[in-house]
Amino acid sequence: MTMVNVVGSMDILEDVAEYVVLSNSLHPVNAIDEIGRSDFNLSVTENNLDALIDFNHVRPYVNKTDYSQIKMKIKKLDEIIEKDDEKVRDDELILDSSKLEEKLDFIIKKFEKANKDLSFYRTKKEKLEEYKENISYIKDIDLTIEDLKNLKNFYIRVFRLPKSNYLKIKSNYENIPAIIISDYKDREFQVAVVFAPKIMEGEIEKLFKSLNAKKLILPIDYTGTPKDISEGIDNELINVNADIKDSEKALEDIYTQYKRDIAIIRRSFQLKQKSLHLKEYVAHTREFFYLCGWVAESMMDRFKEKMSYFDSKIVIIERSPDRVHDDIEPPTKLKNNPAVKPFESMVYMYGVPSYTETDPTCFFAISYMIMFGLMFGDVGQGLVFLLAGLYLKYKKNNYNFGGILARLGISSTIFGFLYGSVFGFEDVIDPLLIRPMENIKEMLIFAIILGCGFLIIGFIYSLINNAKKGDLENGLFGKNGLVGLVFYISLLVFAYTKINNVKSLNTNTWVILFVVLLALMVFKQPIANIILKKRPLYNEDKSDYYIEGGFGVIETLLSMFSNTISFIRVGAFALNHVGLFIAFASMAQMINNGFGSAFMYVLGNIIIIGLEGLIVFIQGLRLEYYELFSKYYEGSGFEFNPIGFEK
Amino acid sequence: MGSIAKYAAVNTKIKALEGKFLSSDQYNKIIETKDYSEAVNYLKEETPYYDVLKEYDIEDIHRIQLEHILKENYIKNFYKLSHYFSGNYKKLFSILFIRFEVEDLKNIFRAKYLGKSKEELESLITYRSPLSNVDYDKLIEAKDVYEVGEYLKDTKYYKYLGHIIEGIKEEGLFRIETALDFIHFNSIKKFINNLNNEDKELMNKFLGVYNDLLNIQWIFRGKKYYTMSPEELLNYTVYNGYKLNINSLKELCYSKDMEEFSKLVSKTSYSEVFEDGKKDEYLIQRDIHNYLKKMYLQYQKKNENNISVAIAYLELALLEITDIVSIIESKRYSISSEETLKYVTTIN
Repeated sequence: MTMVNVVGSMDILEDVAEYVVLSNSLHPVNAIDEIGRSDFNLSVTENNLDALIDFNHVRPYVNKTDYSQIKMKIKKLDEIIEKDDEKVRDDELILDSSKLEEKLDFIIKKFEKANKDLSFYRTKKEKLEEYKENISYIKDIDLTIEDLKNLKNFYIRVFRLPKSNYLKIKSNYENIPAIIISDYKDREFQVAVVFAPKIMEGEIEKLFKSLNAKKLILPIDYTGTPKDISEGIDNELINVNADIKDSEKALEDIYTQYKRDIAIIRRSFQLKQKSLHLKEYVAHTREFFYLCGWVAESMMDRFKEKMSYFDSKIVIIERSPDRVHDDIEPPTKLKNNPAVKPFESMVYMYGVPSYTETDPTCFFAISYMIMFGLMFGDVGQGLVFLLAGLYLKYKKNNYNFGGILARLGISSTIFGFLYGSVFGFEDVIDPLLIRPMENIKEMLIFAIILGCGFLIIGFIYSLINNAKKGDLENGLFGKNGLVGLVFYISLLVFAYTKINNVKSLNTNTWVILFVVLLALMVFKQPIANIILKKRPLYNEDKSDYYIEGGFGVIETLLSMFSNTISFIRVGAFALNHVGLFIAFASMAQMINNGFGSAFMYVLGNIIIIGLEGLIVFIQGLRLEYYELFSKYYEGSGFEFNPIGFEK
Repeated sequence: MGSIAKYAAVNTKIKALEGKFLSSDQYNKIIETKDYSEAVNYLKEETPYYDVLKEYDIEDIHRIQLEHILKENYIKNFYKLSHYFSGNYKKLFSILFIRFEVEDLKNIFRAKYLGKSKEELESLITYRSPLSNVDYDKLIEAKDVYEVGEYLKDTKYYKYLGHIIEGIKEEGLFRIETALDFIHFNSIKKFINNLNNEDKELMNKFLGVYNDLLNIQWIFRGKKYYTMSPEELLNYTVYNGYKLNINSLKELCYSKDMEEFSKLVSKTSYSEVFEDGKKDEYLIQRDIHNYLKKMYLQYQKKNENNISVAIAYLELALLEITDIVSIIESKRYSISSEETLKYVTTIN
């Protein structure tokens, strides 16, 4: 990871920003912060003289360009065309915003006419369909529309009103001065055809308004009987549908002709938006801009290639992380073997590895799978997990959880063969290794030994990480360091010799050894500082340090003991797994009915998969996080996220 | 009879809530207070409304705000009670809630029609609740009534309102308000069929009595103040009455004059409410409340294991708020205690 500073004159800022986005290799950092920390170094050469002088007037970049016009036009374009675009090459993109707007206007103009036509025809179709429906309510009348219009004393109306209101007409019909016929009704509404004297028009209108009726518009500009009109409208509809099809085709044609241009425009606009985002990190003066960010080693070539476009118009300064201010941490580029990649999400739940730490995902994956398999060893149930994981991964596109589930399923199946357990039944296949329930003591002791093994590996990781960080105090003398490791192993050996009565060193020798190691742990800070020739010897008050140290000793002893014993739960849950099935098996046998027993076995398996699976998942995670991660993993980093197009 | 399993818990809860109703003694004390601030102070310090009012400063609350606060609290309790029910009965509360939503919608339409400011409208919206079906924020932001109609497009109100909103310039708000009322009554009427028989009967009775009283009041006003034809009058009535069926309504609508009208009314069980038709409007309003209150108190006393207890409580709580607001208003306008008594319900 390299810290990169870019300086150039303000008039090329837009272009530089866009090329940086296209390189997809820079993780931007706020330049003002950098400058404030006086980390922004420019070598004093003649080339940089102007930039150096201007430096005094530096301020953060505030965007003044207004893209709202372009944004609106793009939105308009999106409304007309909803399809996805094809891929666009970087060199095809339009970088200049006025050129972009020009092209956009050109394209929109092409579409505008066709789109206008289309909406015109669509509205016309809606109106025709409304007419058609409304005229259908009087389709049985044999008179022509002109005759009806020309009636001297009567007029005709069609209303649609709520069904319950129509009841009011029926109940008071004798008092209503009109002929009302209703043949059409649906769940909510009823249609009434009203034939009334013209002098009563006002009253009838008021009457129907009081019934919350909607007047249906009839196509009175047509000629002929309602049946004729209906046919006429049908013909018109055919025409209008053809028109709509033509307009749609015209739009399609225009789209096909200009689809590349549209794709270019949209992608160019995306580029503009991203580079706008990048510019928020930029600091500038009147003449010059200053851009900072992290670039990963592997991406440096790509970055330089894109920047080479600007030749000598920009200055690029690179610095390695150790020459950067202590406070600043570089981002971590995450890279893991595909076999263990799904487990990343579980590790990063705890924290993202910091730049100097090793990524624990590999160890996490292997240890977690082993523990899960040990605790949940069953061929059948493991296969269920495997299938569920594959389903999630491929059908539901849930890569992380599906991947984890599938791998846990595999581990569970392998241990199922080792335990000889298929869906809980232990009489189907022979165990390749051991039956848990029949070897309780062995299971528990093995669990503890496994725990010791994992803890020792944890210690080793801690040593590696401390070495990478260059932390002598904790790496050598700390409770998670070399001294701690030696102490732990000595404790184990001591315990083993005492329990199994093996001859070894004198008890007194052991005690002296332990006391010396503990003393080293207590005095770690002054000793480390003496070795490094650093003064003062204590970073804090002497009494504070020793009180802390004293409690530290107690805590070390306790935690070593408890962490080790904690792993006994691996064995316990393996037994638990079998025990739970025994419970269901007993119930099934008590039922003594073929179907009932089968049901009980199935139910038992479902409950075990759900309940026990969840418990084992969580317990394994706890062992990883608390017993192991707290030894060697800080997780205080942040992810390397170069600015570029959305994936 | 009713089902104990369904109602025992909620009825017990309601008994506890009813303990917080004001006693006639407390009513008298409020009526006897000197002025508006003393009345509100008494309400805050000496009654269970302390919980509702404690975070407000008396000086800062004026009348409309007080009503707002009380009604907001009412809706909160309304919503809480709905949790005691499940399935169709829970939905019943959403349907009953439409009554309040319609009130708010009427306010919104009126405010937009009259061009009132957004802040004024905000203060009038009382019944925001998780039971709401409309997006109040969008409606308050609307430019005019047409935009309000746009925002209501995806609610059940649009079906009956859509075509009326277009004509609002010529016809005013009347049709919109009646359409909203129609939606309210229609929704309840359709939904009641989903309840069990006992509750169905009770709901029909409660609604029926309310409809009867509304109808008589409406026809009375229509005949006295508006020049509407009997057909129109009849069309604006609500049909699901308890004692008054369509024919009785027709008779009332087509009665020749106020004497005939009063004679017909006196033959019904609602005679005490309308008497001879010469009563003042506000007294008729009060007596409608009295009639309903008497009915609900009966059911409260009976305490049966059915929906009556819950409905009775909700209605009585609402009536209490109406009474409190009337009293507070009287104090605001320095009306004497004897006069004030005329505006509040009397049965306790």
